[in-house]
Amino acid sequence: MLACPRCDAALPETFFNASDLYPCPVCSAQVQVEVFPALLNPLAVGTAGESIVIEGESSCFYHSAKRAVTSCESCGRFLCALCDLDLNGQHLCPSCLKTGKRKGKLKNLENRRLRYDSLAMAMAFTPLIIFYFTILTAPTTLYIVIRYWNAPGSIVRKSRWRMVVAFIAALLEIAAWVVGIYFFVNYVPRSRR
Amino acid sequence: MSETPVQYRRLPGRGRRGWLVMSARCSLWLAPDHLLALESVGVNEEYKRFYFRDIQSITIEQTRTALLWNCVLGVLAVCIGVLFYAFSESAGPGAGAAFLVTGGIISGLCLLFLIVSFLRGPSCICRIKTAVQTEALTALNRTHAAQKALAIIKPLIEQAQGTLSAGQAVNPVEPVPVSALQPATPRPVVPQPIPAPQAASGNEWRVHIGLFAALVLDALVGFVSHLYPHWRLYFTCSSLLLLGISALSITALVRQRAAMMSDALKSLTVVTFAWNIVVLCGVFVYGFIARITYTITHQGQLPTHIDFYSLYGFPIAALVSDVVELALGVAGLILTSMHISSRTKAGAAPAPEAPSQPLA
Repeated sequence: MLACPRCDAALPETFFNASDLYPCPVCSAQVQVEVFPALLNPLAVGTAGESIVIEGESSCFYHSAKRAVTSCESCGRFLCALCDLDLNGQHLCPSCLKTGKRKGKLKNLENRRLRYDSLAMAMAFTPLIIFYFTILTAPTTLYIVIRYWNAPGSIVRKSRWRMVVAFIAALLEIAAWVVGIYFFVNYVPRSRR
Repeated sequence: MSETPVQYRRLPGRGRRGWLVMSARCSLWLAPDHLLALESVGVNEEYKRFYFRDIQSITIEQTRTALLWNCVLGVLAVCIGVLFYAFSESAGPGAGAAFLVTGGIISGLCLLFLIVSFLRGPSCICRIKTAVQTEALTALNRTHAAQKALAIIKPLIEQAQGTLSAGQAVNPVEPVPVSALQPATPRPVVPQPIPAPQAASGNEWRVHIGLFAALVLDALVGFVSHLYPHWRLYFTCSSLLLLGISALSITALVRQRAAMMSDALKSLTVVTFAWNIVVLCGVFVYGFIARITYTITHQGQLPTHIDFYSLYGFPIAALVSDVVELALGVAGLILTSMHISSRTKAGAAPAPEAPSQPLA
């Protein structure tokens, strides 16, 4: 049973998969509801490992009294039903799952990413509001671009154009400083400095 | 353990969560087996994945947010246009052109936002439900975009899960029998009781009363000063009241979020806040332009407060502002008193009892 998102009253079944907005019978809010078979599935219940009953049977790496049912696809350790973690059809042990998440090797578990290309762009262009800051930020931008050139960018956009633009902008800023200092030293009279 | 990179395709819709600098840009992306909700905050990206096999339902609830914003933008565009036109008429040729250009740019921007908002269609809240969470998809905040995205996602979810007949979703506890694929017999729709209003703190209307009373007071001060001009007193009182109204409108906006109030009262508070912002910006822009033009036309002299407020159509603008404030204040007081009386009646009548058993 699904409820109206505004008034929490149960919606009649005529609402489901109607492919358009209809007014809720209680609060008149225009609502469209699409339901799928997963709504009917009961919550999956985890299984505990089975105890070893036959001598010489393979046991779980983490629970020596439990029977192994599979092996970790990353490290090859035997796992009982409790330790077998199914990640999109891939069987992993808790240790490999933790390591994979920490190192970012399991892309499906990655839920946050620092975008170095955006950082480089921000460092290159934001200080232009007060140009004097660019004497510090331009070299920093160059460092970020070179150091993190191979770092993963956005998960959805693979292009590196931001890095390239930031690099060129930082070079231009440094060139502007060099030219400015050159003119200041050579063409501004000492009396006016 | 490494995986092949997933190719994502962007879905219609874009949105923002939060305000100003800390706001997150939201978008929705499609992978072969899941939906990716992406939130971009500064240089960070945050991801939420919804696998097609886990999605239980998607709901779209149409809201009035876009309509309200369209009204605010329309009123802003007209008011700013009229005010700056009045300024330009009463100012000299040079200053008049400056006022016209400034007013044209600001009201033109408001109109542009209004047109874009209008073309994007009505606003909505799109929610996606899985077994463990219900998440609002901020990227799908317009009905057209949400329905377009849903038309793309739905076949993919059905490909992963199969289809559901109309009668199946009534009792989610039962497993799916094969016979359920047959057309279900229509069940009578049982009318649901209107849920009892949540218990509010009880004094959320006091801030609203203060806000609308301050508006009325400010308007009255303005009218009195028009009849008996005393600009120094007017400036002092009006500035203090404007600051008070700003603080009260922000407090009222915060407090009404969790309060059970009518949509009209909530909307009026939002409009009052927007009007206050317009007045503050108008005073700032007017002061800036008036000071520069006065200095140019009077050979470098700075205006006194009397010169300043008696030039370039300020009395007309102040009169318009006072009329709008009076209308907002009176309407707000009426709506708040209606809210208080309805609360009193609800408090006197016994609350409807919740049904002991689910009806469907």
